[in-house]
Amino acid sequence: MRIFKLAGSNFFLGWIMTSMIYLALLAVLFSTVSTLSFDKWRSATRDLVTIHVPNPTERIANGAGVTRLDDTLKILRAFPDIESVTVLEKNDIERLINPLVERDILKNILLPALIEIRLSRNDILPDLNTSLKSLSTEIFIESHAELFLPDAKTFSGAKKLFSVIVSLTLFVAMISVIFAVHSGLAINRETIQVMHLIGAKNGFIARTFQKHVLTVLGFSSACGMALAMGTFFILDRLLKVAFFGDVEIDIFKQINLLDWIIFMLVPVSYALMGIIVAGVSVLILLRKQS
Amino acid sequence: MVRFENVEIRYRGKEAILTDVSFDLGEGNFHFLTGKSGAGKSSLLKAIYLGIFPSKGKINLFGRDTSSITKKEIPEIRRRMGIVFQDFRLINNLSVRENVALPLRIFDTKGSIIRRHVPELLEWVGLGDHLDDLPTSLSGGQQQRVAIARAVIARPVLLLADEPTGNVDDTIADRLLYLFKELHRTGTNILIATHNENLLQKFDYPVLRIEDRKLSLSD
Repeated sequence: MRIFKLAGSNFFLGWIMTSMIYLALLAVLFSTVSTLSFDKWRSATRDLVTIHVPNPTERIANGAGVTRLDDTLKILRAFPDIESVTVLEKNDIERLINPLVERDILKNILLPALIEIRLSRNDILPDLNTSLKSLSTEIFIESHAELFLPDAKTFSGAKKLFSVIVSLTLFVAMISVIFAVHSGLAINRETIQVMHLIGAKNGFIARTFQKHVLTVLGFSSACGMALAMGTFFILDRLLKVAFFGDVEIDIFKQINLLDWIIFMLVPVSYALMGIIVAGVSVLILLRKQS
Repeated sequence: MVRFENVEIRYRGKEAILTDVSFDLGEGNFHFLTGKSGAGKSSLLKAIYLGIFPSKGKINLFGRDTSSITKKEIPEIRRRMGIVFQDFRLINNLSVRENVALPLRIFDTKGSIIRRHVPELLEWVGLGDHLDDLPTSLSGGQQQRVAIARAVIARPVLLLADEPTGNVDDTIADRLLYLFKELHRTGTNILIATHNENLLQKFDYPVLRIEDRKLSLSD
Protein backbone atom coordinates (compact mmCIF):
# COMPACT_ATOMS: atom_id res chain seq x y z
CA MET A 1 0.00 0.00 0.00
CA ARG A 2 1.32 3.39 -0.98
CA ILE A 3 0.73 5.80 1.89
CA PHE A 4 2.31 8.91 0.39
CA LYS A 5 1.00 10.68 -2.68
CA LEU A 6 2.49 9.83 -6.05
CA ALA A 7 0.17 12.07 -8.00
CA GLY A 8 -0.18 15.84 -8.46
CA SER A 9 2.71 17.88 -7.22
CA ASN A 10 4.89 14.79 -6.88
CA PHE A 11 5.11 14.72 -10.68
CA PHE A 12 6.63 18.17 -10.46
CA LEU A 13 9.01 16.75 -7.87
CA GLY A 14 9.90 13.92 -10.22
CA TRP A 15 10.34 16.33 -13.10
CA ILE A 16 12.74 18.53 -11.10
CA MET A 17 14.72 15.47 -10.09
CA THR A 18 14.78 14.10 -13.66
CA SER A 19 16.00 17.45 -15.01
CA MET A 20 18.68 17.80 -12.39
CA ILE A 21 19.94 14.25 -12.79
CA TYR A 22 19.89 14.74 -16.59
CA LEU A 23 21.95 17.94 -16.33
CA ALA A 24 24.36 16.38 -13.86
CA LEU A 25 24.87 13.33 -16.08
CA LEU A 26 25.38 15.44 -19.19
CA ALA A 27 27.93 17.56 -17.36
CA VAL A 28 29.79 14.48 -16.12
CA LEU A 29 29.69 12.82 -19.55
CA PHE A 30 30.92 15.90 -21.40
CA SER A 31 33.60 16.43 -18.83
CA THR A 32 34.74 12.83 -19.14
CA VAL A 33 34.79 12.88 -22.92
CA SER A 34 36.56 16.23 -23.18
CA THR A 35 39.16 15.16 -20.61
CA LEU A 36 39.72 11.86 -22.38
CA SER A 37 40.00 13.58 -25.78
CA PHE A 38 42.42 16.14 -24.43
CA ASP A 39 44.55 13.49 -22.70
CA LYS A 40 44.54 11.39 -25.85
CA TRP A 41 45.59 14.35 -27.99
CA ARG A 42 48.28 15.34 -25.51
CA SER A 43 49.73 11.86 -25.25
CA ALA A 44 49.69 11.65 -29.04
CA THR A 45 51.71 14.86 -29.42
CA ARG A 46 53.86 14.72 -26.29
CA ASP A 47 56.32 12.06 -27.45
CA LEU A 48 56.17 12.81 -31.15
CA VAL A 49 59.09 14.52 -32.86
CA THR A 50 59.63 15.44 -36.50
CA ILE A 51 63.17 15.62 -37.81
CA HIS A 52 63.76 17.85 -40.80
CA VAL A 53 66.58 16.69 -43.04
CA PRO A 54 67.29 19.31 -45.76
CA ASN A 55 68.96 18.05 -48.93
CA PRO A 56 68.30 14.43 -47.95
CA THR A 57 69.98 12.93 -51.01
CA GLU A 58 73.24 14.81 -50.51
CA ARG A 59 76.20 12.67 -49.63
CA ILE A 60 78.04 13.64 -46.46
CA ALA A 61 81.82 13.55 -46.60
CA ASN A 62 82.36 12.05 -43.17
CA GLY A 63 79.12 10.03 -43.18
CA ALA A 64 79.12 6.25 -43.29
CA GLY A 65 75.94 5.98 -45.39
CA VAL A 66 75.20 6.83 -48.94
CA THR A 67 73.10 9.94 -48.31
CA ARG A 68 72.39 12.40 -45.53
CA LEU A 69 69.02 10.72 -44.95
CA ASP A 70 70.64 7.28 -44.65
CA ASP A 71 73.12 8.59 -42.10
CA THR A 72 70.34 10.28 -40.12
CA LEU A 73 68.28 7.10 -40.06
CA LYS A 74 71.32 5.13 -38.99
CA ILE A 75 71.79 7.41 -35.98
CA LEU A 76 68.11 7.28 -35.11
CA ARG A 77 67.89 3.48 -35.28
CA ALA A 78 70.93 3.13 -33.09
CA PHE A 79 69.66 5.64 -30.55
CA PRO A 80 68.11 4.19 -27.38
CA ASP A 81 64.57 5.13 -26.25
CA ILE A 82 63.22 5.69 -29.72
CA GLU A 83 60.12 3.54 -30.17
CA SER A 84 59.47 4.07 -33.86
CA VAL A 85 60.97 5.79 -36.86
CA THR A 86 58.83 6.64 -39.89
CA VAL A 87 60.06 8.43 -43.00
CA LEU A 88 57.19 10.43 -44.48
CA GLU A 89 56.45 9.76 -48.15
CA LYS A 90 56.99 12.61 -50.62
CA ASN A 91 53.24 12.84 -51.22
CA ASP A 92 52.58 13.28 -47.52
CA ILE A 93 55.19 16.05 -47.30
CA GLU A 94 53.70 17.83 -50.28
CA ARG A 95 50.26 17.53 -48.75
CA LEU A 96 51.57 19.16 -45.56
CA ILE A 97 53.21 22.03 -47.41
CA ASN A 98 50.50 22.45 -50.05
CA PRO A 99 48.31 24.90 -48.15
CA LEU A 100 51.34 27.07 -47.46
CA VAL A 101 52.93 27.40 -50.90
CA GLU A 102 51.78 27.53 -54.50
CA ARG A 103 51.68 24.23 -56.40
CA ASP A 104 54.22 25.41 -59.03
CA ILE A 105 56.81 26.26 -56.45
CA LEU A 106 56.74 22.68 -55.14
CA LYS A 107 58.12 21.48 -58.49
CA ASN A 108 61.12 23.79 -58.26
CA ILE A 109 62.23 23.30 -54.69
CA LEU A 110 64.04 20.39 -53.15
CA LEU A 111 61.85 19.22 -50.32
CA PRO A 112 63.46 18.18 -47.04
CA ALA A 113 62.96 14.67 -45.79
CA LEU A 114 60.68 14.46 -42.77
CA ILE A 115 61.17 11.66 -40.26
CA GLU A 116 58.58 11.16 -37.58
CA ILE A 117 59.86 9.45 -34.47
CA ARG A 118 58.12 8.44 -31.28
CA LEU A 119 60.14 8.62 -28.10
CA SER A 120 59.67 6.52 -25.04
CA ARG A 121 61.32 9.27 -22.97
CA ASN A 122 61.20 12.99 -23.69
CA ASP A 123 64.46 13.92 -21.94
CA ILE A 124 66.67 12.36 -24.62
CA LEU A 125 65.93 15.23 -27.02
CA PRO A 126 69.08 17.31 -26.17
CA ASP A 127 71.36 14.27 -26.71
CA LEU A 128 69.59 13.38 -29.93
CA ASN A 129 69.90 16.96 -31.12
CA THR A 130 73.66 16.94 -30.43
CA SER A 131 74.12 13.68 -32.35
CA LEU A 132 72.18 14.90 -35.37
CA LYS A 133 73.91 18.31 -35.39
CA SER A 134 77.24 16.49 -35.49
CA LEU A 135 76.06 14.99 -38.77
CA SER A 136 74.84 18.29 -40.21
CA THR A 137 73.99 21.59 -38.60
CA GLU A 138 71.10 21.95 -41.08
CA ILE A 139 69.19 19.03 -39.57
CA PHE A 140 66.76 20.20 -36.94
CA ILE A 141 64.29 18.67 -34.56
CA GLU A 142 60.73 19.84 -34.16
CA SER A 143 59.01 18.66 -30.98
CA HIS A 144 55.24 18.45 -31.32
CA ALA A 145 54.82 19.05 -27.60
CA GLU A 146 56.58 22.41 -27.95
CA LEU A 147 54.88 23.19 -31.24
CA PHE A 148 51.40 22.74 -29.73
CA LEU A 149 52.29 24.24 -26.36
CA PRO A 150 49.95 27.29 -26.75
CA ASP A 151 47.10 24.98 -27.83
CA ALA A 152 47.83 22.65 -24.91
CA LYS A 153 47.68 25.58 -22.53
CA THR A 154 44.36 26.68 -23.99
CA PHE A 155 42.95 23.16 -23.74
CA SER A 156 44.26 22.78 -20.21
CA GLY A 157 42.60 26.07 -19.19
CA ALA A 158 39.36 25.00 -20.87
CA LYS A 159 39.55 21.67 -19.03
CA LYS A 160 39.88 23.46 -15.69
CA LEU A 161 37.01 25.78 -16.56
CA PHE A 162 34.91 22.77 -17.53
CA SER A 163 35.71 21.10 -14.19
CA VAL A 164 34.43 24.21 -12.40
CA ILE A 165 31.26 24.23 -14.52
CA VAL A 166 30.71 20.51 -13.85
CA SER A 167 31.25 20.98 -10.10
CA LEU A 168 28.80 23.90 -10.06
CA THR A 169 26.23 21.93 -12.07
CA LEU A 170 26.55 18.95 -9.72
CA PHE A 171 26.24 21.26 -6.72
CA VAL A 172 23.15 23.05 -8.09
CA ALA A 173 21.61 19.67 -8.98
CA MET A 174 22.35 18.41 -5.46
CA ILE A 175 20.74 21.45 -3.83
CA SER A 176 17.72 21.13 -6.15
CA VAL A 177 17.26 17.46 -5.24
CA ILE A 178 17.50 18.34 -1.53
CA PHE A 179 14.87 21.07 -1.91
CA ALA A 180 12.69 18.82 -4.06
CA VAL A 181 12.76 16.10 -1.38
CA HIS A 182 12.06 18.71 1.26
CA SER A 183 9.08 20.09 -0.65
CA GLY A 184 7.87 16.49 -1.04
CA LEU A 185 7.79 16.40 2.72
CA ALA A 186 5.65 19.54 2.76
CA ILE A 187 3.17 17.93 0.34
CA ASN A 188 2.88 14.89 2.60
CA ARG A 189 3.02 16.73 5.94
CA GLU A 190 -0.66 16.03 6.69
CA THR A 191 -0.21 12.29 6.11
CA ILE A 192 2.87 12.26 8.35
CA GLN A 193 0.94 14.06 11.10
CA VAL A 194 -1.96 11.60 10.88
CA MET A 195 0.41 8.62 11.03
CA HIS A 196 2.09 10.18 14.04
CA LEU A 197 -1.23 10.70 15.83
CA ILE A 198 -2.38 7.17 15.05
CA GLY A 199 0.68 5.86 16.88
CA ALA A 200 3.32 5.30 14.20
CA LYS A 201 6.85 5.43 15.51
CA ASN A 202 9.16 8.08 14.07
CA GLY A 203 11.40 5.43 12.52
CA PHE A 204 8.46 3.79 10.76
CA ILE A 205 7.28 7.13 9.30
CA ALA A 206 10.82 8.03 8.21
CA ARG A 207 11.32 4.63 6.53
CA THR A 208 7.95 4.86 4.78
CA PHE A 209 8.75 8.34 3.47
CA GLN A 210 12.22 7.20 2.40
CA LYS A 211 10.66 4.37 0.38
CA HIS A 212 8.37 6.92 -1.26
CA VAL A 213 11.32 9.21 -2.09
CA LEU A 214 13.28 6.24 -3.41
CA THR A 215 10.39 5.39 -5.75
CA VAL A 216 10.25 8.96 -7.10
CA LEU A 217 14.04 9.29 -7.27
CA GLY A 218 14.53 5.85 -8.78
CA PHE A 219 12.09 6.59 -11.57
CA SER A 220 13.51 10.11 -12.06
CA SER A 221 17.07 8.76 -12.15
CA ALA A 222 16.14 6.19 -14.78
CA CYS A 223 14.41 8.89 -16.87
CA GLY A 224 17.31 11.34 -16.43
CA MET A 225 19.79 8.65 -17.39
CA ALA A 226 17.82 7.58 -20.45
CA LEU A 227 17.52 11.21 -21.58
CA ALA A 228 21.24 11.81 -21.05
CA MET A 229 22.19 8.68 -22.98
CA GLY A 230 19.78 9.62 -25.77
CA THR A 231 21.21 13.13 -25.98
CA PHE A 232 24.73 11.81 -25.99
CA PHE A 233 23.97 9.26 -28.67
CA ILE A 234 22.45 11.95 -30.90
CA LEU A 235 25.40 14.29 -30.29
CA ASP A 236 27.81 11.46 -31.04
CA ARG A 237 26.09 10.85 -34.39
CA LEU A 238 25.95 14.59 -35.17
CA LEU A 239 29.64 15.08 -34.39
CA LYS A 240 30.59 12.20 -36.65
CA VAL A 241 28.53 13.42 -39.57
CA ALA A 242 28.86 17.18 -39.25
CA PHE A 243 32.45 17.70 -38.22
CA PHE A 244 34.62 14.71 -38.90
CA GLY A 245 33.19 13.24 -42.08
CA ASP A 246 34.62 9.81 -42.68
CA VAL A 247 37.10 10.04 -39.80
CA GLU A 248 36.00 7.68 -37.06
CA ILE A 249 35.30 9.59 -33.86
CA ASP A 250 33.51 7.25 -31.50
CA ILE A 251 32.84 9.02 -28.21
CA PHE A 252 31.41 5.92 -26.57
CA LYS A 253 34.56 3.92 -27.37
CA GLN A 254 36.64 6.51 -25.54
CA ILE A 255 34.78 6.02 -22.28
CA ASN A 256 36.19 3.16 -20.26
CA LEU A 257 34.59 1.01 -17.55
CA LEU A 258 35.72 3.28 -14.70
CA ASP A 259 34.11 6.29 -16.42
CA TRP A 260 30.88 4.34 -16.86
CA ILE A 261 30.95 3.44 -13.17
CA ILE A 262 31.38 7.14 -12.26
CA PHE A 263 28.53 7.95 -14.66
CA MET A 264 26.28 5.36 -12.97
CA LEU A 265 27.27 6.62 -9.54
CA VAL A 266 25.77 10.08 -10.21
CA PRO A 267 22.08 9.00 -10.04
CA VAL A 268 22.87 6.40 -7.36
CA SER A 269 24.54 9.00 -5.15
CA TYR A 270 21.67 11.45 -5.71
CA ALA A 271 19.17 8.75 -4.76
CA LEU A 272 21.19 7.94 -1.62
CA MET A 273 21.39 11.63 -0.75
CA GLY A 274 17.63 11.98 -1.30
CA ILE A 275 16.94 9.06 1.03
CA ILE A 276 19.16 10.51 3.75
CA VAL A 277 17.57 13.97 3.38
CA ALA A 278 14.08 12.38 3.48
CA GLY A 279 14.85 10.48 6.68
CA VAL A 280 16.45 13.42 8.43
CA SER A 281 13.69 15.85 7.34
CA VAL A 282 10.93 13.57 8.66
CA LEU A 283 12.72 13.10 11.98
CA ILE A 284 13.22 16.87 12.35
CA LEU A 285 9.54 17.52 11.50
CA LEU A 286 8.35 14.94 14.03
CA ARG A 287 10.70 16.25 16.68
CA LYS A 288 9.23 19.74 16.20
CA GLN A 289 5.71 18.32 16.48
CA SER A 290 6.28 16.31 19.63
CA MET B 1 -7.51 5.00 32.99
CA VAL B 2 -7.53 8.79 32.50
CA ARG B 3 -7.08 11.00 35.52
CA PHE B 4 -6.65 14.78 35.51
CA GLU B 5 -5.46 16.45 38.72
CA ASN B 6 -5.71 20.25 38.88
CA VAL B 7 -4.65 20.52 35.26
CA GLU B 8 -4.08 23.84 33.56
CA ILE B 9 -3.76 23.99 29.80
CA ARG B 10 -2.24 27.04 28.23
CA TYR B 11 -0.74 27.62 24.79
CA ARG B 12 2.59 29.41 24.77
CA GLY B 13 2.27 33.11 25.54
CA LYS B 14 -1.52 32.96 25.78
CA GLU B 15 -4.12 32.94 28.51
CA ALA B 16 -5.02 29.56 30.08
CA ILE B 17 -7.79 27.68 28.25
CA LEU B 18 -8.54 25.33 31.11
CA THR B 19 -7.72 25.78 34.78
CA ASP B 20 -7.88 23.47 37.75
CA VAL B 21 -9.42 20.60 35.79
CA SER B 22 -9.81 17.35 37.70
CA PHE B 23 -11.69 14.22 36.69
CA ASP B 24 -11.28 10.48 36.61
CA LEU B 25 -12.41 8.18 33.80
CA GLY B 26 -12.26 4.59 34.92
CA GLU B 27 -12.79 1.36 32.99
CA GLY B 28 -16.07 0.85 31.13
CA ASN B 29 -16.99 4.51 30.82
CA PHE B 30 -18.91 6.45 28.20
CA HIS B 31 -18.77 10.22 28.70
CA PHE B 32 -19.77 13.26 26.75
CA LEU B 33 -17.60 16.34 26.91
CA THR B 34 -19.45 19.52 26.15
CA GLY B 35 -19.07 23.26 26.23
CA LYS B 36 -19.41 26.24 23.96
CA SER B 37 -17.36 26.55 20.81
CA GLY B 38 -13.80 27.47 21.81
CA ALA B 39 -14.36 26.40 25.42
CA GLY B 40 -11.44 24.01 25.33
CA LYS B 41 -12.99 20.63 24.45
CA SER B 42 -10.50 19.89 21.66
CA SER B 43 -7.60 21.02 23.87
CA LEU B 44 -8.69 18.64 26.60
CA LEU B 45 -8.83 15.76 24.11
CA LYS B 46 -5.44 16.86 22.75
CA ALA B 47 -4.00 16.67 26.24
CA ILE B 48 -5.31 13.10 26.53
CA TYR B 49 -3.73 11.97 23.27
CA LEU B 50 -0.50 13.75 24.24
CA GLY B 51 -0.76 16.39 21.53
CA ILE B 52 -0.09 19.00 24.24
CA PHE B 53 1.18 18.79 27.81
CA PRO B 54 -0.33 20.61 30.81
CA SER B 55 1.30 23.78 32.05
CA LYS B 56 0.20 22.87 35.59
CA GLY B 57 -1.17 19.78 37.33
CA LYS B 58 -0.90 16.09 36.52
CA ILE B 59 -2.37 13.83 33.88
CA ASN B 60 -2.32 10.11 34.43
CA LEU B 61 -2.89 7.84 31.42
CA PHE B 62 -3.19 4.09 31.73
CA GLY B 63 -1.38 4.27 35.05
CA ARG B 64 1.46 6.47 33.75
CA ASP B 65 2.14 10.06 34.76
CA THR B 66 2.42 11.88 31.41
CA SER B 67 5.24 14.09 32.71
CA SER B 68 7.42 10.97 32.89
CA ILE B 69 6.54 9.74 29.39
CA THR B 70 9.40 10.14 26.91
CA LYS B 71 8.88 11.13 23.26
CA LYS B 72 9.75 7.58 22.24
CA GLU B 73 6.97 6.19 24.43
CA ILE B 74 4.23 8.45 23.01
CA PRO B 75 3.41 6.17 20.01
CA GLU B 76 2.94 3.20 22.37
CA ILE B 77 0.46 5.19 24.48
CA ARG B 78 -1.38 6.45 21.38
CA ARG B 79 -1.76 2.90 20.09
CA ARG B 80 -4.12 2.25 23.00
CA MET B 81 -6.38 5.06 21.82
CA GLY B 82 -8.54 5.65 18.80
CA ILE B 83 -9.02 9.25 17.74
CA VAL B 84 -11.82 10.65 15.60
CA PHE B 85 -10.76 14.13 14.57
CA GLN B 86 -13.19 16.97 14.09
CA ASP B 87 -11.98 17.44 10.50
CA PHE B 88 -11.67 13.63 9.97
CA ARG B 89 -8.05 13.89 8.79
CA LEU B 90 -8.48 11.12 6.25
CA ILE B 91 -5.69 10.63 3.73
CA ASN B 92 -7.25 11.67 0.47
CA ASN B 93 -4.97 9.70 -1.85
CA LEU B 94 -5.80 6.44 -0.07
CA SER B 95 -9.01 4.52 -0.62
CA VAL B 96 -11.54 4.03 2.16
CA ARG B 97 -10.18 0.49 2.70
CA GLU B 98 -6.56 1.76 2.86
CA ASN B 99 -7.44 4.58 5.25
CA VAL B 100 -9.09 2.18 7.66
CA ALA B 101 -6.23 -0.34 7.28
CA LEU B 102 -3.60 2.30 8.07
CA PRO B 103 -3.44 1.77 11.86
CA LEU B 104 -3.14 -2.00 11.38
CA ARG B 105 -0.31 -1.52 8.88
CA ILE B 106 1.42 0.84 11.29
CA PHE B 107 1.06 -1.75 14.06
CA ASP B 108 2.54 -4.38 11.73
CA THR B 109 -0.58 -6.56 11.65
CA LYS B 110 -0.62 -9.58 9.33
CA GLY B 111 -1.95 -8.90 5.82
CA SER B 112 -4.48 -11.73 6.06
CA ILE B 113 -5.99 -10.20 9.22
CA ILE B 114 -6.14 -6.76 7.58
CA ARG B 115 -7.85 -8.19 4.50
CA ARG B 116 -10.49 -9.89 6.67
CA HIS B 117 -11.14 -7.26 9.36
CA VAL B 118 -11.24 -4.06 7.31
CA PRO B 119 -14.13 -5.00 4.97
CA GLU B 120 -16.01 -6.50 7.96
CA LEU B 121 -15.78 -3.25 9.90
CA LEU B 122 -16.64 -1.10 6.90
CA GLU B 123 -19.66 -3.32 6.29
CA TRP B 124 -20.64 -2.78 9.92
CA VAL B 125 -20.48 1.01 9.60
CA GLY B 126 -22.49 0.81 6.37
CA LEU B 127 -19.70 1.49 3.90
CA GLY B 128 -19.35 -2.00 2.45
CA ASP B 129 -20.05 -0.65 -1.03
CA HIS B 130 -17.38 2.06 -0.82
CA LEU B 131 -14.24 0.04 -0.04
CA ASP B 132 -12.25 1.31 -3.00
CA ASP B 133 -13.65 4.82 -3.16
CA LEU B 134 -11.51 7.81 -2.30
CA PRO B 135 -12.63 9.86 0.74
CA THR B 136 -13.18 12.91 -1.46
CA SER B 137 -15.97 11.10 -3.30
CA LEU B 138 -17.89 10.46 -0.06
CA SER B 139 -20.40 12.64 1.77
CA GLY B 140 -19.54 14.26 5.12
CA GLY B 141 -21.39 11.56 7.05
CA GLN B 142 -19.67 8.78 5.13
CA GLN B 143 -16.27 10.35 5.72
CA GLN B 144 -17.13 10.59 9.40
CA ARG B 145 -17.86 6.86 9.48
CA VAL B 146 -14.56 6.12 7.73
CA ALA B 147 -12.81 8.18 10.41
CA ILE B 148 -14.62 6.23 13.13
CA ALA B 149 -13.77 2.90 11.49
CA ARG B 150 -10.11 3.94 11.31
CA ALA B 151 -10.20 4.92 14.98
CA VAL B 152 -11.66 1.61 16.16
CA ILE B 153 -10.10 -0.92 13.75
CA ALA B 154 -7.20 -1.67 16.11
CA ARG B 155 -9.62 -2.20 19.05
CA PRO B 156 -8.45 0.73 21.20
CA VAL B 157 -8.99 0.80 24.94
CA LEU B 158 -10.10 4.42 24.74
CA LEU B 159 -11.90 6.17 21.91
CA LEU B 160 -11.71 9.96 21.72
CA ALA B 161 -14.11 11.63 19.31
CA ASP B 162 -14.00 15.35 18.64
CA GLU B 163 -17.37 16.65 17.38
CA PRO B 164 -18.11 13.43 15.50
CA THR B 165 -21.58 14.69 14.65
CA GLY B 166 -20.53 18.21 13.76
CA ASN B 167 -20.85 17.80 10.00
CA VAL B 168 -23.87 15.52 9.76
CA ASP B 169 -27.63 15.88 10.09
CA ASP B 170 -29.53 14.64 13.15
CA THR B 171 -30.48 11.29 11.64
CA ILE B 172 -26.87 10.42 10.83
CA ALA B 173 -25.78 11.86 14.18
CA ASP B 174 -28.12 9.42 15.93
CA ARG B 175 -26.83 6.54 13.83
CA LEU B 176 -23.24 7.43 14.68
CA LEU B 177 -24.10 7.57 18.37
CA TYR B 178 -25.64 4.10 18.17
CA LEU B 179 -22.41 3.00 16.56
CA PHE B 180 -20.44 4.38 19.53
CA LYS B 181 -22.89 2.68 21.87
CA GLU B 182 -22.17 -0.62 20.16
CA LEU B 183 -18.45 -0.05 20.49
CA HIS B 184 -18.90 0.74 24.17
CA ARG B 185 -20.81 -2.52 24.57
CA THR B 186 -17.82 -4.39 23.13
CA GLY B 187 -15.56 -2.90 25.82
CA THR B 188 -14.22 0.36 24.40
CA ASN B 189 -14.17 3.38 26.73
CA ILE B 190 -15.54 6.42 24.98
CA LEU B 191 -15.20 10.17 25.41
CA ILE B 192 -17.13 12.26 22.89
CA ALA B 193 -16.69 16.01 22.63
CA THR B 194 -19.84 17.65 21.30
CA HIS B 195 -21.81 20.85 21.55
CA ASN B 196 -24.97 19.12 20.28
CA GLU B 197 -27.37 19.44 23.25
CA ASN B 198 -29.94 17.17 21.55
CA LEU B 199 -27.53 14.27 21.69
CA LEU B 200 -26.83 14.86 25.37
CA GLN B 201 -30.53 14.67 26.09
CA LYS B 202 -31.20 11.70 23.84
CA PHE B 203 -28.36 9.53 25.12
CA ASP B 204 -28.18 9.20 28.84
CA TYR B 205 -24.48 9.23 29.59
CA PRO B 206 -22.49 11.32 32.11
CA VAL B 207 -21.51 14.75 30.80
CA LEU B 208 -18.27 16.63 31.46
CA ARG B 209 -19.11 20.28 30.95
CA ILE B 210 -16.58 23.06 30.39
CA GLU B 211 -17.68 26.49 31.47
CA ASP B 212 -15.48 29.49 32.17
CA ARG B 213 -12.33 27.36 31.82
CA LYS B 214 -13.56 24.98 34.57
CA LEU B 215 -14.81 21.43 34.20
CA SER B 216 -17.80 19.99 35.99
CA LEU B 217 -19.40 16.55 35.88
CA SER B 218 -23.13 16.05 35.64
CA ASP B 219 -24.86 12.67 35.44
